[in-house]
Amino acid sequence: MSSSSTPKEEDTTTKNESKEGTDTDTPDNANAECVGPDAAGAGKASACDGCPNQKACGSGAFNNPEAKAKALEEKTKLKTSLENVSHTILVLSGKGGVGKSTVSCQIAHTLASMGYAVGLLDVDLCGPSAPRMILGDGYLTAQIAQSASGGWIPVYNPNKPNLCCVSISFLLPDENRDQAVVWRGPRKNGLIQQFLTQVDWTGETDGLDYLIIDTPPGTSDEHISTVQYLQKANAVSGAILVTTPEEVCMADVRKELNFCSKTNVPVMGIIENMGTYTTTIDKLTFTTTTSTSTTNNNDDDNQKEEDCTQKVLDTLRKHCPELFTNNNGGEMNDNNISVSSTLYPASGGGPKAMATQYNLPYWGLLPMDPDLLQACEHGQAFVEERPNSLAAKALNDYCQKIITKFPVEEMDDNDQDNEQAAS
Amino acid sequence: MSLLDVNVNVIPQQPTPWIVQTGQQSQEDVTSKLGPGLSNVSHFLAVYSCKGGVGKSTVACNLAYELARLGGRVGLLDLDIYGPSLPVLVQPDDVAVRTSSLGSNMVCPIEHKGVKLLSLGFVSPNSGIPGSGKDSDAAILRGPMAGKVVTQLLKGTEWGDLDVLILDLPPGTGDVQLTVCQETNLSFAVGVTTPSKLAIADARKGISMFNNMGIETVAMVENMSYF
Repeated sequence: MSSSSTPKEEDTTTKNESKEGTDTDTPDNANAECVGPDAAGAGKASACDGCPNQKACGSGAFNNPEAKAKALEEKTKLKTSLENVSHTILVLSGKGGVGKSTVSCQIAHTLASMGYAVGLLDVDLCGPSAPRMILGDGYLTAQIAQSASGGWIPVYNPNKPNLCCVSISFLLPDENRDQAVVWRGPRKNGLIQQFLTQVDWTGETDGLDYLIIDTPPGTSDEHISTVQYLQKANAVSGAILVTTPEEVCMADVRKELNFCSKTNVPVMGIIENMGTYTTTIDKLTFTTTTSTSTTNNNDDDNQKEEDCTQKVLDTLRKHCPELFTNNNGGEMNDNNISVSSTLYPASGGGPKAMATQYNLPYWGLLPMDPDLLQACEHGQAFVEERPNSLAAKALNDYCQKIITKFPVEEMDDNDQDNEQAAS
Repeated sequence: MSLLDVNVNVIPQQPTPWIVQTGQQSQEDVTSKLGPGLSNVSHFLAVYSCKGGVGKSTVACNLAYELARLGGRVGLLDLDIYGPSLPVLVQPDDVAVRTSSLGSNMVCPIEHKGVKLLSLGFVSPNSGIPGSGKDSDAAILRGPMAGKVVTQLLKGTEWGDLDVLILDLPPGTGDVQLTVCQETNLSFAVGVTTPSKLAIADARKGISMFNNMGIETVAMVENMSYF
């Protein structure tokens, strides 16, 4: 493995230290490794190949006073918009369907349940999943409102004023929520810039303790733009990588780790998702398959399936009643006996070995729990619905890691009284 | 009669609506636009899903090999340039992508068990294309560059005589999908989804996108609905 694909050791600073004069001044739609318009090789470096600004940089178009003033104005807007956001955490993967939105939204729900002010910014413009996961069916009619000063007001969870969400879904008309957003990169870049400069995160909590950013799969415009804009405001705290154990996924996650390395995004940890399937006995179905053929041909057309779930459960209840009682001896209705099975066999030591190889923290397993998916589809905090489940314990653990690494200053009573007197 | 004979009769031979709208009325115009590498491909089939991780590559790969088993001349192009899955799903003995004599900078696809294959994961890193090769660095590419890479994989390859070229698309509805629709004349599309409301919401977007481009989704595969 080349050294360029191995990220540096875990960054211990709370905010990313931006490089001097380079990515703080990158023009819009610049390539990820932009050398900066002020650099000696601007427009001529290999990193400039294919960049829409290549010609302009080569001719010094960004070095004139107007361009510099515009760049400064943009940086100021970014810093102003994010100044009441304490910590910004990206949730990345590279691979699709591994659970980035599930992890980012449930971490947001869990932190909100703990009392923190949390925002969820969904930069997956093509397939936004976060609105449903934060609001449930209510997302279908939710819209971003504009404040008197023209800022965008996030959509708040109706039961939790300390949890809000911003997504392209809320900008589409209600009747067109199924409409595809078919945009090329520069247009996506424009909207992400608006998300990061126009949203007013104040709300009832006077800003956010944590802004969680849910990303789409890949290493494309959405990722490059989000990281570049955040770095201009010195606002990248860290990234969490989500992976499943099989090689098809881990190959993409290695690329994402390479992206983080090249763009100086500190990786906080790697979560292994969906490696195991966890449920309870009462949710299993049991089926017998018998051959209806008179020959020894066992193809599908000659096989009959018969559901025998009730028979199996009755037999188990009769012979193993302890499987159906909780620790206090009552009937099982709080789901404390779990059934697990390996869903994706780990390849080459799995995500844990990959984390060791890259010298990154391994944050453990998040099991695939059907109730977790239900909670996501209904916009519920899973840690409140099933607090004793393995998945809830994992989510609480991740949030403890986040608040330990990025603590939020608590207001003492004097500060609260002073604020009330001033208002 | 093989399955492919039936499908050929079903697919309309006249140009699809978007070709007419862009003023390309004749088959000669279409051939000229496709280039020498693609001009002997009879049909283009896109396997898509706006949602990631639902099984597009798995479905595309199995569809390709099943169509080949039924007697078709099949190609499979992995267009997920950010996360190419084909080199993990299919592991040919000879993974060398060789140059083609058809034109400069053109290559020949790999052949494995009767199907012609190409993925950025097979292309040599010496090509200079970001993300090429096995265990490569990330393809950190904005849309315009991504579009160029897709065009190179499509038109810079000598696909030869194929009944169908299956295009395994990445998730999303962006540059790669637009480039594919604009650079080829897709015959039809197959969508893949899981039963989750989240995946279905994205599947609807995909159907909407292809409908707007005049391409019919002829089938929707429901994957991972039971274990």
